[in-house]
Amino acid sequence: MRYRPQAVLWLILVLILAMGLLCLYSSCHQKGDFIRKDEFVKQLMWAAVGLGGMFLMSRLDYRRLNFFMAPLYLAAIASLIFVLVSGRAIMGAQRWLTFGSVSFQPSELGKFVFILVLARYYSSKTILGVHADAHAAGFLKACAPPLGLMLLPMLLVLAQPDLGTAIVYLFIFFSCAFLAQVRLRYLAGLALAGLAGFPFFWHFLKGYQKLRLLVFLNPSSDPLGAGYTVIQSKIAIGSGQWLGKGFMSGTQGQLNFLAERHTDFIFSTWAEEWGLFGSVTLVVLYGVLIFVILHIAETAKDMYGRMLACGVASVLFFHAAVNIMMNAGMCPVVGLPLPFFSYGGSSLVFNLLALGVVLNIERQK
Amino acid sequence: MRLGTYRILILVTLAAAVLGLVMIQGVRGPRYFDLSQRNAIRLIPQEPYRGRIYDRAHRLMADNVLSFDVVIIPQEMISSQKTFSALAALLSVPAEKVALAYKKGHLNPSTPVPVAVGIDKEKAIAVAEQELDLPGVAVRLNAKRFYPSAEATAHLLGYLGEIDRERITRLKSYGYDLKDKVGMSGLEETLDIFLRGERGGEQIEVDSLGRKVRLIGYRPSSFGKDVETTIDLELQQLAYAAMGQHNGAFVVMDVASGEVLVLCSKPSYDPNVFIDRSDMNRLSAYLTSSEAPFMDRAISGQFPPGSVFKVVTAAAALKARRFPVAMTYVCRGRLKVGDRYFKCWSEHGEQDFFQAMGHSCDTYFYHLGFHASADGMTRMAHQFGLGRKTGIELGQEAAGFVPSRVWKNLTLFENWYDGDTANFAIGQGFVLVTPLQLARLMAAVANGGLLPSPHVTKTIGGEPVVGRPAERVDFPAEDLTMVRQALRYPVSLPDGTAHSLDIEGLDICAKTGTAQVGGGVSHAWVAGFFPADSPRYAFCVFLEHGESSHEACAVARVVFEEGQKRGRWL
Repeated sequence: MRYRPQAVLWLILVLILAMGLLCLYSSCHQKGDFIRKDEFVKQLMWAAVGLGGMFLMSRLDYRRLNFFMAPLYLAAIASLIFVLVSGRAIMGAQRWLTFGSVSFQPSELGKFVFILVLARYYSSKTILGVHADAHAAGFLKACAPPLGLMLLPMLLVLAQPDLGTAIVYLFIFFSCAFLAQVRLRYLAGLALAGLAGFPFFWHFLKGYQKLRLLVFLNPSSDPLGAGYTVIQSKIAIGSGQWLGKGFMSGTQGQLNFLAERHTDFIFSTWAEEWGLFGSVTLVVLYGVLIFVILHIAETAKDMYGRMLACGVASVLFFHAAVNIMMNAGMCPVVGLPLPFFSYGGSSLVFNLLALGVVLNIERQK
Repeated sequence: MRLGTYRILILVTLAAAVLGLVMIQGVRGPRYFDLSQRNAIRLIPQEPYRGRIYDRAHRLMADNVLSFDVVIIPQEMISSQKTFSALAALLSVPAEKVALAYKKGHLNPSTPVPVAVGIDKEKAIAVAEQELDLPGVAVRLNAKRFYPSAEATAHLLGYLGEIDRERITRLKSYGYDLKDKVGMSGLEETLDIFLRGERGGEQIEVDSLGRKVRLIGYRPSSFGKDVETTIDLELQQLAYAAMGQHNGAFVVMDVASGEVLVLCSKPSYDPNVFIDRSDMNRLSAYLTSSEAPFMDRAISGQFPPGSVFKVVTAAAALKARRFPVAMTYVCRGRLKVGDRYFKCWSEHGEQDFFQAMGHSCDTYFYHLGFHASADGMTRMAHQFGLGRKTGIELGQEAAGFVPSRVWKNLTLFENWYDGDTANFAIGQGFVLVTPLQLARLMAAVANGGLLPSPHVTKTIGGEPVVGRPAERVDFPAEDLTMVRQALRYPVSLPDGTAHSLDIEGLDICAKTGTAQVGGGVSHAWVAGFFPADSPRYAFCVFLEHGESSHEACAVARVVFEEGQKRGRWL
């Protein structure tokens, strides 16, 4: 049988989505009561909406996205500013824009618009010379404009304060610049400058964000908040052992020990109920999904498609890896959802739309 | 080819994740499984000590006192029915009440559920003696909020309550959590983030009998910051008492800095009732009262100002530069405007500017209103801070309302008639103000045209709070002096409307108002400042349906005289 990336991508996606819904169904229960029925139904609805949008995107020529890029970027910036200002007014953090009964997170939109911008920039011939060769370009051409375009939304997200998403922006930038053949010494220089600036940056972090970083280094320093969640999450994952406790039988999740067990910490419910078998299967599925997307990138017919697909792969990879590792206590708790798995409409829909774009890149090969 | 390198990076990361999972689930799995079976990790929270609130002389307005609470740790309780009935007998309450409190407060098996809060020491000892026979029951010593001046400072301070859904979504990233006690109104709400402190606690591992085996982590709770207010508690209590049976508000403000010394509202409530929740009868009486005891009339009540508004009319007319102050009008008890007669409350005969202010002659001010024009009065009212919030750091402030010709055209689809101007000139009709706005207006008249920003917080944790700067009112200084001089006449003239405020040594300047309200008994006002020569304090007394401004003056007089005796007006 011939290898068809589209079919593999669909297959993997359906598997992950099905597992996610299964797990959400379980984590929306407490002691046998379906206490979060609304949220489960909502997620089903968003999955349907997202799959519809994904199908549409797969039929839309991805080069047409160029046309929407500038307005989308401006809209993303405007909505980020808006949530910030309206959040200030009510003395609290705000990450949501609400239209009637539907609310969405502008930072989710921002991630994918930023990928569009980067892909456009690194595939443009007029800026980087006739051969579209970023490797030959100087720092000002190769790094400065995209860096500026990144810092604007990133600082807005950081001010929300949403440290996790701000780091995602950084990762997207470094991934795309790296894959666009920008000279390594520029990237290394930037990374070093960032590290050197860290003590300065530290002062801008909110108390609870500093705490989360410190908790990672020493979980007992915060026995109540993040430290407690991580320890409970580790107990949940570990107690699943080899084959898990079985569907709907995870005691940690079911007994409400875990605070965010249907959003950021849903992986621990999955690992508790399905064991090492389930959790490794999931990691492998994410790995295959990302490799398929990178394969599509490699065989794309133009630089723009190639960069787009790379950007999408980098976002999915970063979210999946960081989320799973923070659940297992292997990296700090930064509040990133597990793609196609965690409860949350904005993240699910935008991830599906992005896969739609990737499918279109494959179709046009 | 960099894609290759990138693939290796991804592979290595995912492999590390898999390795980590193998370690946790495979190698150390049995240990975690064991921990999960025993629910072995416990959180023992330690509540923070909430910052206290003081008045300007460091007298306590909000304090913390010790409270004995009975809690049940769900997973250690063996028979719930037996425990509930035993506790009910010890606490002499019905067993259903204990069961209900338990059901409501249950969060998860390891978090203690409070079932009786603030019990007597004797009962606490009785329960503590039985602790060994009642597994899961414990007596905890907690801090409880206490407001010594109860009703007199209720609106100003607010009270504490359990966090609600709306607040928790809004404040989650500031470290707020389920079951937290947060300020529900007043300063307790506005300054909650400073007052609350940080919760501490310990995380322990227990054995199968619930005994502590190992301390996993500990964080001490931290103290909240103390807050010092600008309020003079003695005057505040005097003012509250002086209002007697009346409903209304009493405001006193420093004319230069905008520091609020008195801010009280009646009817009030006892905030301690919300802390205890033991006196359910009083609680439900407050909640069902038709007099709205939770409304802070000083900042959220919007009422027609009546004749106090004549200060604005006078200023607008002076600004229009259309009449000399010595000009007189003859009051015949009424004035024909259009085809309608507008009454004066008396027949004053010939009046100049100062006499008219002293007697509060409506006829004279109808004329001034026409000199000023409706637009002029609208502008001047905005200049003096009416129709917008003063920005005081308390929730639910009302903006009041200043009408304008355009507004009437656009919303009522009617023209602005001369009759509207006449009504506007004497503070009737559409215009609405809050007592705080009038006190602020008087402060600006008194201090030479600077509209101060009223505030009640002086220091937080010892750090002085920097308020917003005062706004300059666009009004010539010499005209303002004229208004200021005129405001002495209501008090100094033997037949002036505020003559009862002629207290030796205070030199009060004031303007009264009796505002008619559709159908009901009129509202009574008096607002002003003192001493006349170098003003220090601006005030506003408002009595809801107080009938006559004499009542308001009487209330004010009691407070000013008593304050003078005690040397509060330094």
